[in-house]
Amino acid sequence: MTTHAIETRGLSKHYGDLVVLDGLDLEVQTGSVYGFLRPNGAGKSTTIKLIFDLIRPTAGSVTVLGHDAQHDGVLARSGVGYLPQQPHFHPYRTVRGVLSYMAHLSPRAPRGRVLHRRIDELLDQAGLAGKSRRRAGVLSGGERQRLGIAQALIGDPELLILDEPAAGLDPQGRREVLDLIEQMRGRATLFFSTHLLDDVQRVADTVGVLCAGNMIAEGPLGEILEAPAAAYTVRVLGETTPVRARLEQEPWVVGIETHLRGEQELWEVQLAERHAGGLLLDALVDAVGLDVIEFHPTDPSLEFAYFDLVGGER
Amino acid sequence: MTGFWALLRGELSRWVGRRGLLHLLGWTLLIQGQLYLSLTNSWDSYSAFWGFDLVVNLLWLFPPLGAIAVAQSAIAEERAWDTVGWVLARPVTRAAFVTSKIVGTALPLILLAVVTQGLIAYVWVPDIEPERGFAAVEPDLGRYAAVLGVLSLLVLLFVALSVALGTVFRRRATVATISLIVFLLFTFPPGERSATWHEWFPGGLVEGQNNGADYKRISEYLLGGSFDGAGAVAVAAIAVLALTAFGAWRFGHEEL
Repeated sequence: MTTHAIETRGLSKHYGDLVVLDGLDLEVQTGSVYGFLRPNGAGKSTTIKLIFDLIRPTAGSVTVLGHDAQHDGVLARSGVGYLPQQPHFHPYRTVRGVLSYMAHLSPRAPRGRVLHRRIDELLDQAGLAGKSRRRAGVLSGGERQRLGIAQALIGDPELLILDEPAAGLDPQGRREVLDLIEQMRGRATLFFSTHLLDDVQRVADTVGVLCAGNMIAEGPLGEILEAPAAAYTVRVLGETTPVRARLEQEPWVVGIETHLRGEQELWEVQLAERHAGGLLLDALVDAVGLDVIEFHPTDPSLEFAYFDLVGGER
Repeated sequence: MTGFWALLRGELSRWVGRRGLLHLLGWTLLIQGQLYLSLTNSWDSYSAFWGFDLVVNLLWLFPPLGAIAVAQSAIAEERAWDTVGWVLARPVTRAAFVTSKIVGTALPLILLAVVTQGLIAYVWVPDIEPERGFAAVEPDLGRYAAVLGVLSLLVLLFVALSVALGTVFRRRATVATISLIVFLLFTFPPGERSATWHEWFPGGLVEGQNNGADYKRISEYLLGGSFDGAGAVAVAAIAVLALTAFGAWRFGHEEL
């Protein structure tokens, strides 16, 4: 068993002078749930097309499940399930027909009666059991997305590649997709691209951040979250103004964002270093005329980390 | 060619049901209806015309046109539906994809438009009274099957041509126009029929006047004569293979 479900080395794709991918090195550990974060136009679709050998790299290589994606493409794709962004199906096929068609194109999918049962199971999970005879061409966007997920699972994949799996879904549908990813944890390697930071934070254990064709950060979620300065949430009552002014003079305080909550104030305190939390607590406890009602580290937010990494504005 | 049989199965499944029935009905009305009208009306232009030459004529004329009409969209509709990448993300080769399009389109058309119609005609055309000048005598079944095989090969050739062109051109109209020009060249090849190259030209198999005096090469064979179109059949078969290989090569180099 290879340690990397997907591995790219120096992967580049140029269209004339336009550089879409520039020497991408990507490693998706077998068994991981890898969130591939990107802003639009960062080269995410190009990366996925290169993984499936739908386009050829200008330079570099892609290995999928231990096989070269370009030279052993059939073997590389044998154990992969794929949900395209905005999945489209042959409009003349029924919902069941789509799953049957995909199953026959997947060497690992069951056959015969077992396949029928498997299709029934997936239709049930996807909430499409009552629509199995409906033409794929008349499905709604959400139904199409759910069918897309079902067809990606029909081949019992070792590696599941989901391109924007929760895009276009309502909150309920989004939750179901994330639950599904959770269920697949440990059964397959999951590689999903998204621009939804919350989704990555909720289910991914590894994150890659792609920006302008370059991987600007890659690693376990915890490491990525530790990158920015620490933050604390503080709720106080009393003589707040002089304390806040004094804190803002401290070298280990980056900034304080204040929100009024009736007579109380809620402070979002950004610290220059994580270990400065103790100094902050000491300063608050020692402050005269100030009641500290709430004090805790702010949940580490991938949003902070992401925009810190890509240099964008929230 | 990994994935060919699964892809072919998917292509053929499209013809099971309404699409297949509509084609069967349409081809039966077109071929048998035209045959019936022609053989039961005393038109001067058809006098002294052998009924089975008319069968050959119709099975040459319409099925290749149908092949162009259906096959010109084989690749284009996959592009329009945005399903090419989805299918090719499975463990299948692009050569298998193109070949399955050719075989999966040609096979149902040959079955419904050539073989079925040929067999139906074989049953009822000999019963037409020869009083109007038709000699509708039943041909030898083996020779008839061979002729249907040659006509099927020509349908396959036009399917392969249209699918191969579909890998080059994105517009259906371009694919259909070029295919129709080739069809016209087949129907009205330049030069004298006796020219040597006509013996090697697949269109030369179906070249001839419809007045009974100058039968098509395959009609002469059907009447009991010797078959001198082996070279043209071989060229047609090689052309099918070459077009399939070209389509697979061209599609294999396309960035999707």
